[in-house]
Amino acid sequence: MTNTLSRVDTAAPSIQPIAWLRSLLCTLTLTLLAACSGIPISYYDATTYTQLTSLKAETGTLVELFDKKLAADNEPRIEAVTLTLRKAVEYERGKGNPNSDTAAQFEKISKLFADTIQEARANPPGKLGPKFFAEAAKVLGQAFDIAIRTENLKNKDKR
Amino acid sequence: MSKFTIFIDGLVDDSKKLAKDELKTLVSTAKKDSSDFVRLQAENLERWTVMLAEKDLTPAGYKLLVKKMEVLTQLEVIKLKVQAKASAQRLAQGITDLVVKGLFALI
Repeated sequence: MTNTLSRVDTAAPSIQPIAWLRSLLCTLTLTLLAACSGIPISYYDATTYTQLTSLKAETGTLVELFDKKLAADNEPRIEAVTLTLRKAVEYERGKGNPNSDTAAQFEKISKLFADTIQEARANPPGKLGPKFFAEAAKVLGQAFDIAIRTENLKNKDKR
Repeated sequence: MSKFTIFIDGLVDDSKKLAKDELKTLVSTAKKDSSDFVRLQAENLERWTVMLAEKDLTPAGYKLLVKKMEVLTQLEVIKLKVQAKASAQRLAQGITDLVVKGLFALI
């Protein structure tokens, strides 16, 4: 009886560390995978990137106009850019929960643009300063830059 | 002395509502920050203050621009959140590819 036990004890150390390591790695993997599935995030999307860069240019060039021109004289262009922006917001929302961060960024940028348009409608050129809308366009550009960098931080889908 | 400092120092503030030295320190410290975002915001604030002094912006225009900085901050916070999530996603993917499919086959 004593001899049998001692044979088991001496054989065990060569197997146990590997089994222990395997068990640890399994636990670690499952924990990480569970954690990551709990924090969903979408993959990089080239369409999102293109929309952001196009909208940055479109909104910026439109807003800059209002230092010299009335918003009322540019309503068709305002409506066209607003529609393009809304379509982009809907595209991002449509990707579901894993894309909620990017969708939130689009919604905030959309509101920033809408507020700036309201300021242009309420204030003729020069009323907020001769260079107000040039600076407002820069802020809008900086907002798009943050969203562009955010998209670039995402991982590429290898599937 | 910069135009920003001259403008802040020149403001008449008998009721001492503005902590002039703290504001100057805040902007000069932020301009040296390691974060691109913080540096950019300090530059925005300094440029708009100089534009206010030079009447390129009215006080109402200046206030509207400063309020827009809050949206930029909210966007940056989301960016940092996405950065952390993407790192976690890379780690999980790396473990699946290298450990589960690679190392597990050998041990």
